[in-house]
Amino acid sequence: MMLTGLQIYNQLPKTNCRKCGFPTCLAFAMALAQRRVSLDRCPDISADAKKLLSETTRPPMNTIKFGMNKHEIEIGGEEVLFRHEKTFYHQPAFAILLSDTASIEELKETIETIKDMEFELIGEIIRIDMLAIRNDSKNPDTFVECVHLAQDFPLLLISECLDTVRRARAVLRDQIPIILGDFSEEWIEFALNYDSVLVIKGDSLDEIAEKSKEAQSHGFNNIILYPEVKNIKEALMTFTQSLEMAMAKNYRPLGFPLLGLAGKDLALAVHFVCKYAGIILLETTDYEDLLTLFTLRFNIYSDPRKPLMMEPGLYEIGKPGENSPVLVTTNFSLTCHMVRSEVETSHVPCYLLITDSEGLSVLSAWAADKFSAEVITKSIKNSGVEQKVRHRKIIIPGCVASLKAKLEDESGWEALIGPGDAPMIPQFLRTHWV
Amino acid sequence: MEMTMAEYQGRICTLHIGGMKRKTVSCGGHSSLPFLSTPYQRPLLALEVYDVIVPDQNQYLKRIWAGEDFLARIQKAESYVPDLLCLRFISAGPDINIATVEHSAELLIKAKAVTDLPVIITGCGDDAKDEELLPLLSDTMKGENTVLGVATEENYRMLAVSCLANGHALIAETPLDVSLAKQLNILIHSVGLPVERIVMHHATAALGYGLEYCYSIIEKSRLAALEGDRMLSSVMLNFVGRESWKTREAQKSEDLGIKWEIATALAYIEGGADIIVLDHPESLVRLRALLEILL
Repeated sequence: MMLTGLQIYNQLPKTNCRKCGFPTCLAFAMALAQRRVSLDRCPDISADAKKLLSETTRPPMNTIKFGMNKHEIEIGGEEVLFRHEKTFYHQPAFAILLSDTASIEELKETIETIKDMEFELIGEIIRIDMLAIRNDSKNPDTFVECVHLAQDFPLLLISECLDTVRRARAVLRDQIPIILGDFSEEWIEFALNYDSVLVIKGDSLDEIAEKSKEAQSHGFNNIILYPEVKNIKEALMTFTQSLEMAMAKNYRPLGFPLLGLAGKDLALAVHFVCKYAGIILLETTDYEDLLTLFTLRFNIYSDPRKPLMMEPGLYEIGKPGENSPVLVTTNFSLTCHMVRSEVETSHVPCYLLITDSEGLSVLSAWAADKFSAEVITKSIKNSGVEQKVRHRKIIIPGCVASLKAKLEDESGWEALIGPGDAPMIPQFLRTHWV
Repeated sequence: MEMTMAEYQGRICTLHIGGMKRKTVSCGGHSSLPFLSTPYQRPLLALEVYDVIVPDQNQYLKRIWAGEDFLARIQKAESYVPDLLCLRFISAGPDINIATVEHSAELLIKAKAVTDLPVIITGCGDDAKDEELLPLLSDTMKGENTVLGVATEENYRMLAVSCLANGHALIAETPLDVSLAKQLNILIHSVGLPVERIVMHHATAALGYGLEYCYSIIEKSRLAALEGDRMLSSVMLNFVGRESWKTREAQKSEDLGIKWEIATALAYIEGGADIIVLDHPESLVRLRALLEILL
């Protein structure tokens, strides 16, 4: 059950001591209710209150951390089943699954390839998150050697033999690995002693919940759940049910992130991104598959609470100079984003002028008179672009070509009619801008 | 503890498409989120056929579809066994403008004779032109229970009346806003075309180009309907093909384009889309195989 800010406030010392960084206990309580801060910030809270509050202010799904200090990964911690209800907090980690039956040479090469793989998304470089090593050889030495080779990545170790895992774990000095093996008191004890995350697998959620309860009875909460599913249909059913139980029923044993095995199946991986996996195991290094998945993850895990509007003004793309082209568009973030990514593709440094059009797309803004000759002229004058470039030419979106004459009158700039669709921008810049 | 799942009171309308000499298909009718109940009426996969292949069409799509006339393209599309066809009439549009609306209607008369698949008929996307074009196309298909589109806030009245007169369903398009969608449904409903005969299009963005907005609007819209909002209980459609093949990724490699189209389609299917319009036959074939597993 979630408490309201006031209910939480009643449990606090009400001294307004400010040690938590908030001006009053009430302000701190409100922040706690929104789960923006941790209860630890209050040094004076009574033990009873702490117990009560830490239970009720805990998100319905635990956040699990693993990997190294410099490359820590957090998964889980989700609070909603649908991103529009709030947001999804932690994007799933993609793990490439490697078998220890491959030769050392092959494995070295694969790992190097994976290390070199880069995906560019909106100017940001993304890499493969982690690797999973599976002890198919059943040979402990081979497994340990593979783990040694892969240790620059956060790792998921897969072996049913605890002794093998024990030896592999010893290789990994500066990371918290995830271990997928068997499940018993022995394994829990090992994971507790050697700081590891343990995967609980099972055919049904009932079975998984029982094991999860057992782990928690040992005070062990570093858990990822792995429902073994036959296909995409089962995956959808089981994962949805697990999350609904955790979130709607606050059923603690299932309040952990989930692991999904997609293998070589792109569609299944796509599904896991949309529907609730915390870790997605892949058996592919196909660049196009991965680009598709990274892009989808980027989309689904973007924060819907962020406004759709961009700040109006003058943006530099590349390193534009006094002869660089000036393009104008509205401040709908998708529009800006598309124009921007196309300008980047063209490798022509540009100034991008974003008008204040109330977050509308070009055509909607034009129809509503929010992307008019006056609005654009005002943007030109206020942005300082006239001091940045020597020419007086502005490229307007092709779908509002009818603005040309009026804009030229109003602004004194020459209006060049650009393409109607963003993907045509690179060609346009190359052919029309000398 | 007993494992339970959310149950909903609302039910999505069932839409039948086709009839007379045409095959019929149906979609919708669910009272759960996608695939979470059994049986679940699987989404329909439509293959899109353009009346003309324009020069700036994606090069890989051109390779598949160009070089043949519209009628041959329709037959080719039919050979991939889609649930239905989406015939798209763009040649009378203001950008292309190589045919009159009357030409388009004549072309449709020929086209409808070469296939017995149910059809979606869409115009050029220009509100004013579509207001001339679509009623003509609608008359041409009188009684054949097609889906006509797209209607916007600007031109819905004329199109709804035409659908009513000729027995078609209507695609109602609003930009990424559940309240706008509901409002347009109410407006169309008030002209006399019931929500059962409306197909909502909440806009379609391709993967990487704003997919998340459309995805969430679809989920939100579907949840509202399942929670009992009758005026949002229409089926939903996404024009996945045309958006996917416009992307930079789909211009780089055909394979990547197919993956892009499939991933985009699947995301919308997960969100709740009932009709997916595709442009590449290979995407259709792969998605169909996938849907078999999901049922």
